[in-house]
Amino acid sequence: MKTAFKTLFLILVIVLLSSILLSACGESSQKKIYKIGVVNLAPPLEPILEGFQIGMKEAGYVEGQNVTYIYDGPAANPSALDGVLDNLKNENVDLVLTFGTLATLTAKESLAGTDIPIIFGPVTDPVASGIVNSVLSPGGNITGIQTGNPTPKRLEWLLKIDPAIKRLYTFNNPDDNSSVQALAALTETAPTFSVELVIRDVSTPEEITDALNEMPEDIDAIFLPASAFFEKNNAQFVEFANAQKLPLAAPATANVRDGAIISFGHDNIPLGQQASRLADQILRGVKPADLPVESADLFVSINLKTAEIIGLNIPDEIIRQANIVVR
Amino acid sequence: MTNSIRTRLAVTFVALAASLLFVVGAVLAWQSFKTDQQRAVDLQSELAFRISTQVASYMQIQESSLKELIQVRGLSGLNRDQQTNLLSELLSFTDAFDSLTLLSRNGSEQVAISRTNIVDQLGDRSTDPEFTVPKANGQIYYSPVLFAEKTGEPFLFISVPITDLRTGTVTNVLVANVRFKPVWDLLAGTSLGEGSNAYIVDSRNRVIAHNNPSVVLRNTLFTVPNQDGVHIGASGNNVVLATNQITLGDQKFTIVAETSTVEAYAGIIRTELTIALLLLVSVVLASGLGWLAARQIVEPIEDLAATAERVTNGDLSQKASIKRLDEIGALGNAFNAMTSQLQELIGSLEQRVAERTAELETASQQVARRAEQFEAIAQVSRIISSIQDQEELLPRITRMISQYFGFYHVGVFLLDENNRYAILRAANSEGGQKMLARRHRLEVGQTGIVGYVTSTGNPRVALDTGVDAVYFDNPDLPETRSEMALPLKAGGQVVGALDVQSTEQNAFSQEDINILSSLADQVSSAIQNARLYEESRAALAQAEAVSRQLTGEVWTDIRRFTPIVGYHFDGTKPEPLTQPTNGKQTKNQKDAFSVPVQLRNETIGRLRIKSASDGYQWTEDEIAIIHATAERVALAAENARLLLESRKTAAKEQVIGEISSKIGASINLDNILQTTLREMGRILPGAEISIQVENE
Repeated sequence: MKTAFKTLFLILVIVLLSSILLSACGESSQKKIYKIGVVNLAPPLEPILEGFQIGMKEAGYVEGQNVTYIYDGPAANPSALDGVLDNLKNENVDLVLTFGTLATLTAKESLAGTDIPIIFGPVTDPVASGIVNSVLSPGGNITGIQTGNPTPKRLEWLLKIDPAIKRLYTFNNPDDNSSVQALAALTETAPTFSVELVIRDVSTPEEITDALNEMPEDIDAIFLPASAFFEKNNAQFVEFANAQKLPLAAPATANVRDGAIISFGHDNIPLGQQASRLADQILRGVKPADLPVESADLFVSINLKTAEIIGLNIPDEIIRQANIVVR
Repeated sequence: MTNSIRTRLAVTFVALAASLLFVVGAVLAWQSFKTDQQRAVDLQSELAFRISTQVASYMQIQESSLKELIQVRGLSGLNRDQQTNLLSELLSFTDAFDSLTLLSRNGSEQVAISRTNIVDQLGDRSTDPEFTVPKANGQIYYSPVLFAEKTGEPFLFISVPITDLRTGTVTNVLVANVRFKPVWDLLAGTSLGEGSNAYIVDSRNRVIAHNNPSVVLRNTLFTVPNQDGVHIGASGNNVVLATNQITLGDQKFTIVAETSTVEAYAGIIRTELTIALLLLVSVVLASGLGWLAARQIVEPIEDLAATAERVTNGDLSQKASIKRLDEIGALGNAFNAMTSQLQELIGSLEQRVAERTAELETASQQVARRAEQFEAIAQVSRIISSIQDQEELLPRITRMISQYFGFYHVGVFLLDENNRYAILRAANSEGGQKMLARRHRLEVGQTGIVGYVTSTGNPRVALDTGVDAVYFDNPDLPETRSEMALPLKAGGQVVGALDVQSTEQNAFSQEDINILSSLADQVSSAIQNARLYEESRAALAQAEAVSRQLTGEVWTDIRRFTPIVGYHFDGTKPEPLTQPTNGKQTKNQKDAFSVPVQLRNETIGRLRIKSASDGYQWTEDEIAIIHATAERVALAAENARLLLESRKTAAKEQVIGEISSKIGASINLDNILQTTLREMGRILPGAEISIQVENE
């Protein structure tokens, strides 16, 4: 009987081991750790990465476990982007996240010939910028979030908080399509509101300084076109505008948080979250070409602190219409 | 052993248990599968219903917002700026609207505001359904879903007619461009599991909202199935989906909740795996138990079979060790009883066979021994019959009998001339040699069994027990444990005894006595023959001696009365010899020698030969011729002498015959006597002859 019990015990052990093995089989596959590279020119756009990471985490991508982000901070200037992209290529990243039109175009050009997909962040008009073929069928290996060109609407909102504005001091960065496109829309819209534009080309911080120092008289407000360049140098404009008691209309909500009095545009964190949905699908194997370019939600942001600084009284009915109010 | 009972029982148990468990498991698995599948469908159905409620509620809220502007805020009664501000506030208050437009009685845009665009010019929408329909029926109108050109995002118009409170006629229509993007967020915010999707399909099969906006932006079409269940989903994969329809105005929207079959069946698969695992465990356990049961049944049978095999191989002492009270135990007990009976039966048979075999063996040995003994007797007889010299014969007899019969001592006693003592004449053993040396003898009728045998003429056996033990005190033969003496008889008279002694007790049986008596007879005959032979030889020698004496005397007379005693041949002619020459003159010379002329070993003459050449070496042939010639001379001389003797005898017999006839012719004594004298006188002339009759 001893031998019988021993045999029975052996059978039970085999069964238990088989169960453990069966259950272990489902967990044996090793999770891949994705590498996501980030290309950015403007520090104010960094919250996009924050939003992106939040969205990715919600989708199951936990940094350090199955995803790593390769981001060494904003590039000092556009020419530094090539080095950043070369590094990302060497790192053999699974995805590149680009912020802004200029960074996106540079990345697209640099990563051409590779199979590294690109998701771009706030791009005013990716079709007009030559980033994608069309919004619904991007083609290529790139897709992302467009903001559209809310420049005319922003002008309208600026005029809502200060209907007395007749002369705007605005800028153009000829190196950035977003800036060019935004300024074009502004130029087209301004006459509708009987607003005169004073345009100055700037492409470096020094030129900004010069332009601000050389601002003409009778300027009622400063208007920044959508451009990572201007967002990056938002502080300089804020400081100047506040000093001059002039309303500063900036392209993004982040700029309002940083001191601009109003914006009508995307909010970086939600935009980053929106981009993370695309990233998730791409990492799951969906081709970027099959992912239509999505449109960012646009928000009206008003900074009441700045309004107070410059002595502007914004009507309550306008404040009520704002999505984001910085008090 | 694949056809063993153990294997068959185990296979039967396992097959039975496995088949039952498989059937039960399959039914359970199928029921579980159907239940879980229905549960998955119900789950999706519940989700679809919940989303439908939320979407309907969303639309209802937007509708209510619009109604509030009209009914609470009195939109139509405000001036244009107030209307603009009110609509702007609503537009900012909720992100549901992309634009709000207040149409006049005739369908022209009275106030228009947009979330993203600048409205710099008012248009005419009098022919658009969002105006004509509510204008016509006074009901809230939901347009079909449209898609924004730039963004590709879907939207629809909700047109709320504003009626005059007094006339009830439609004075204005508030048209809202309702975005579906918040619905996307609503869907995206719905807790959906991995592989699950929720989306809304319009009446034209276009997906207008999806938790993944890309699906909408891709202009995805999906034909809603008629029945919930497993279908190909909007993603192109097999899904478990459920639908729920909502109606907004004239528009019907289908809310679809789906989950991939992989995810939906994950629980089912786990359940099925669990069932399978339990089934496997059950089968294994059942198999183990079946195996144990089979073992319980088969093991004693196998033990019994092994025991039976050992019994079959001849080991009847094997017992089945089955200590059970069931049928198998009874079988084991019966087997053991049967084996015991068989063992006893075979044991008795074996004993009887052994006895018979021993008897046969004994008989065979006896027969063989007899045969050997007879063979020995024949051998001994054959050999001793060829020996005529008694001095050689007797030792030979003892040695041969000892050799062939294995007796360590054999002795032959012969009676002396007076038949008073039996004298040991030959023996083979060392002790016997000592006895011969001291001329061992036994008094007839007095000493030992030899004395008895020579006295009575009957054989006798002495054993090492009882009164016979005294016979074994002979110091020369200390190892004797059995002794047998057989009489040697010649012509019915005891002439001696054959004494055989053995180191074994009871070595002699009656049969041995009979056989050895036969041998003793043979020995007696041989001894008798040898004796007769010696007597004959002695008689012959005596006769030959007489013959030689007579021959010598005759030839002595011949030499004495014959003047010529021989002849000498000198190469020319024989010369008579009157005196015998000295034979030694030619002896031991190479060129001359003498050869005796012998008759019955008596030299009656001598032939002397000398070569004419000195030192001549006679050849063997020449010498043989000389000897043969000497022998022929002797024979021829003897024949001549015998012829002469015969003639003399014949003449004598003739004379005697004549005398006899003459004497016989007389019939009275005187005549006979006178005739005798006359005849004698005639034969012996000059002799004085007298004859008389003697008195007592």
